[in-house]
Amino acid sequence: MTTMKTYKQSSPAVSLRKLSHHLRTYRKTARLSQHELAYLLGGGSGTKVSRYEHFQRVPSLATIVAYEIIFKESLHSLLPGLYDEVQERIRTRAQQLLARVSARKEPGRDAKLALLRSLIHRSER
Amino acid sequence: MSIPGQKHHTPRALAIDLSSRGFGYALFDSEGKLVDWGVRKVTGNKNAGCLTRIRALIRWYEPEVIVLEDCESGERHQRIKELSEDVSRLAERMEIRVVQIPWILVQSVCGGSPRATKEEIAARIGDHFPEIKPHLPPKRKPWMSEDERMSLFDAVALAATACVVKKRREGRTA
Repeated sequence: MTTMKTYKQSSPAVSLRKLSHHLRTYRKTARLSQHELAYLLGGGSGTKVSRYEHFQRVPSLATIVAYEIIFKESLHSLLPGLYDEVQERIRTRAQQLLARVSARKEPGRDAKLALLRSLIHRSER
Repeated sequence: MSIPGQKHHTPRALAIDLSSRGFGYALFDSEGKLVDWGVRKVTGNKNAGCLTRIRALIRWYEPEVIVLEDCESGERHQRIKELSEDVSRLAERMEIRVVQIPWILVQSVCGGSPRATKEEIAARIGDHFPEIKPHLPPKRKPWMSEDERMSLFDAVALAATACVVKKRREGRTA
């Protein structure tokens, strides 16, 4: 049996990074043209949608909400890479804050610690 | 939909099927999910035109692996063989790993038989990836040339085969 051929002998370490968004995926699955989606998003031409899809322009918050409404998908599904990036940053800061709060004696400390521990646990899954 | 049995955290793969009119492509993310697909028709200087568009795809998506058909083991037109080499060189310059799959392997893995036809392979791919099933061309008649949409299904089949072969290799070395 012929074998799979590769050009590079040493493969780079597998990257865990995801695409920042899947906006194009959902549009194509729904078989909408860029122009049609632009109309649903509230005007503008298909060029704007093309720029979002090719990572040349960041959609506004209102536009992201519109995507969520149109495709009935969560932020995590629409923007997996960005979501994971933000989650990782929050997790790091939550761990730092947990250490600081743990060392203090203050009213409401237990509630804060519970929130931070829950946040860290959720972001590690 | 994702490639069956695909583990999480696999390389982002761009599969390209070179054809007489341009190329078909399929992008799979690091979880094996099909996230983009399409067919590009190129006129004029086809090799240069294809390279330009492929370079743009690579810049947008930054794949970690490019999957191509192994043209040397098959009967492909000289122009396609040259283009395949050009794409491989482009990928090497951009430090992207290239995986080349012989078509007979695609027939076995995706078609269930080394004699599976392209229509049979495309039908199976369409069943597994419903998002591209609407693009399935009608059954080819003897007087028809191959529908350009077929290269989309060929690209997905290349990626799926590469994944299966990788999984088998990992199983053997584990």
